[in-house]
Amino acid sequence: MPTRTQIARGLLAVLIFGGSLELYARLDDYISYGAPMWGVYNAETLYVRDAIGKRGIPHARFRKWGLNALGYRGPDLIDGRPTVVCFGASETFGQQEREGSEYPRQLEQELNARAGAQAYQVLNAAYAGQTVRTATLRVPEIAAMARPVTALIYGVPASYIEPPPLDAPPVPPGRIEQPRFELRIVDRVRTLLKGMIPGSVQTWLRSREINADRGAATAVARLPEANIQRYRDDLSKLVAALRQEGITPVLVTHVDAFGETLSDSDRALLTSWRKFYPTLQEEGFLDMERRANDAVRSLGAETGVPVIDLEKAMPTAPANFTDFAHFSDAGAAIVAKTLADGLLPILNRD
Amino acid sequence: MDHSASHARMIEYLKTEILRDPDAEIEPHTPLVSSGMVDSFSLIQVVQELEKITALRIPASKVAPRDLDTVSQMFATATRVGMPR
Amino acid sequence: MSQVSLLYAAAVLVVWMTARVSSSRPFRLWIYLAASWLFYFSLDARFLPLLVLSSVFNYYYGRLIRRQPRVGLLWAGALVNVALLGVFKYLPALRPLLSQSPFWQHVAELALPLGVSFWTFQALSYLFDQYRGDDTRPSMGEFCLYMGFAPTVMSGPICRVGDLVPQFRAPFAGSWASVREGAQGVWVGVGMITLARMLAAGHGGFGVADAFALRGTLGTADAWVMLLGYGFQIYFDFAGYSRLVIGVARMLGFQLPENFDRPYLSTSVTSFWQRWHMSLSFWIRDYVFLPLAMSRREVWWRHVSLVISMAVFGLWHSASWLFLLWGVYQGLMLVGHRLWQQLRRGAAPIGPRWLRSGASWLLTFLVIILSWTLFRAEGASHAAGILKAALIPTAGLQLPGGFVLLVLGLVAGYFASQLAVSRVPQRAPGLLSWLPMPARFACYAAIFYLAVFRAAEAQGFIYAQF
Repeated sequence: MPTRTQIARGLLAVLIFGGSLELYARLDDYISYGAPMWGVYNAETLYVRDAIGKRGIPHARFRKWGLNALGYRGPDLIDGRPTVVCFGASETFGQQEREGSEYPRQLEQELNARAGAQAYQVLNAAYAGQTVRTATLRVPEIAAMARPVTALIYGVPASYIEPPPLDAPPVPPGRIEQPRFELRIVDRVRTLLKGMIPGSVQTWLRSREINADRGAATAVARLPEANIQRYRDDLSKLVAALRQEGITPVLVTHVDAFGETLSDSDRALLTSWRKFYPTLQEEGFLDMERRANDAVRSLGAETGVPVIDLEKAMPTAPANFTDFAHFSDAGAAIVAKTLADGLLPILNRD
Repeated sequence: MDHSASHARMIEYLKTEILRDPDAEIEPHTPLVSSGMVDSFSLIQVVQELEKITALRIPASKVAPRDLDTVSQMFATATRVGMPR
Repeated sequence: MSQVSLLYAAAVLVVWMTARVSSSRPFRLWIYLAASWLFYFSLDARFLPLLVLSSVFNYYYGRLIRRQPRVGLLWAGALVNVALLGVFKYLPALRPLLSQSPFWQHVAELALPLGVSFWTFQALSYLFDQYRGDDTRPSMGEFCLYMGFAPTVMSGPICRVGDLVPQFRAPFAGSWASVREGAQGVWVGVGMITLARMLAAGHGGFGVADAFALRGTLGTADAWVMLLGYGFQIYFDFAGYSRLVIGVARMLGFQLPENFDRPYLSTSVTSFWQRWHMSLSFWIRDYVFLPLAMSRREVWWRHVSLVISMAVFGLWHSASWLFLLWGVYQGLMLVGHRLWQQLRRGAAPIGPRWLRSGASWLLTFLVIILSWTLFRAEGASHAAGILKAALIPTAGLQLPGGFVLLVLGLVAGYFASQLAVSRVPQRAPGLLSWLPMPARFACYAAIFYLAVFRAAEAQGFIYAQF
């Protein structure tokens, strides 16, 4: 039976171990990214809230995500150089890729490599969680700031799973609310545990979370057509807003990590996707993607907007994705090449 | 030559020719190789001296450094594996 | 930290607990053997039958040699083992010279069985020791365990039958004290491996491998920084791995021979080779150098034997001209040190002791660091370019500043830590016992943080390729 002194020593050792880990995490952030030693440091520190929604703080930085003078990810724009703007959400903003390997950056390199000169620049106007609606509202300011010639629209159908918020009270502009204190080691430990816990256990835990989050709401097996129509309508409004500013819109179909047949690991991945949208059952996601992309193609045909069919061009090999929809470096490279193939004739025409 | 005389002769050799330290404290059971006092290069000279003292030929393939770690082990090894010259 | 690491840690715990509660020596032996073979199977299932076959063959062959200690039999047995090693390790290097027939091309593409260099040398030492009439006579189970012992099977330390078999026969020596002592070794080992990974990953995506991929005219500073980077990467990697393995074995109650003893503090090349990869160095001494050197009386033959032995040392790593040259270089440096010692015999010392020690250390350090050129370069011309830059003062620095700072910082940190440790009297067994408890746990946390959250996946364990 351990004595009180031994128990106290043991607790002290755990405290010192844990406290040291937290200190090293902060020191690591400070040395690696110039982050403040004290205070909160997370992805939300990149943003403020304005009348439209989340807005990047110029020159803000969180780890590998650095924003330019306009508050968008990537380098500052160069005056006079033709600009392509990319609208989208986290897939476009970039998640798991190494810094500089998110597809808008690779697209810029690809376009310039083919042009044989630094002829173009690409503005990554996406934020994680951005919707087509907020992108539409941003068009006038982006047009004024960057004067792009072309806009790529990589919409995310999944953001239309939940019904739109009804009469939500406007959030006052200003800094995004942060906790007073945050343990930075927690996020790292969470990632570590994810790597250690067997996939089947993680899937089981996610299923439990999904059921808890869903609450009383019924999960549907097929996304209602009205949601797809809403997606189409919002894309149509974005296209109109861009054309009004003299920007050539280009639609891009959405691609996910799933092929024709689903393996066990694919099913687990679908569950991890559903965690964000608990009201749609797993089998509904692939159907949603297919119908949403058909809507994109039909919109393009109807409005004369070019469509780059990324869904058809992109191999669904696991190496191209880090999860259900976000790209790896290799995947982002394929996206960039495919977009460049579709974009160059339009740019040369313009 | 009896044991103590032959041990003494070897100890003297080690002090003067190998370690070059007349004041080194070496007893018949002092570890020499495992302690690093005698390295492999010097061990060859030691074996040659051992052959001279015992008048035996010690086959190279029959000895390992740990068989020659102390002065007493050296002579025991020589008795075990040595062949008349 | 992966699921696999957790699984291995759990396996060590299970073996420990099972061995502890078992009073039956044969049962413990079979637990260790089953665990070791399962471990090898988990790493490389294809070649477990080969390890078992080699163990069985060498066991019976060793008994034959013991009954009939004829040198011809010994050489035949040694040849079989060297041939096994040769087929897997050296044949692929001869691929350009082999016939283009599918059979030979297939042979040349054989994968390298994990740890084959290490357990084959253990088998050879057993055969030689049986010829010499060694007292240790292992049973089949004991010998199989000696050959495939989980902590050492992958990359050593290369053990002797006399080191391990008596421990297999002894009562279970695991205890809370051995676990504590071993765990500290594991922590230090993990810490060192993490430092190696940091050098591999480098700074801003530029690591040691990128430094060696540089072409064009290298400056002298470039050459020395990249050699320092590699010299410390391989040291942290291999010494760290050895430390980890020795720590795990200690937790289970076993004492393995040390493999590294702060080699970069050596004040002579002779001393360096008594402190670097000691298990292989002593193996070469016992089974190559001494028999060779004692076959003739002349002093010059001893020098030649030394160079030949170190050439074998080089070839053990790989069948390439550069590794052979590396070995010969080491041999020549050792001979040079001998000759210098003979020259200085009886002469008055030059300068105060601290100056002599300092100069000896610096010269040894530079000679050894320079030798890594031959170990790491990608070809003869690459090696020549690095050596030229290192030895002929050339201005310019291609290496990124961040990488240079990382290398120099780690090197300086290493020597500073060795200075700190040397001034503290050891209080209890365990590499970190001298630290007060809060500092010790802060150290563990630092190692844990670096190893788990910052270690790069860039490169595997360097010595696994040998």
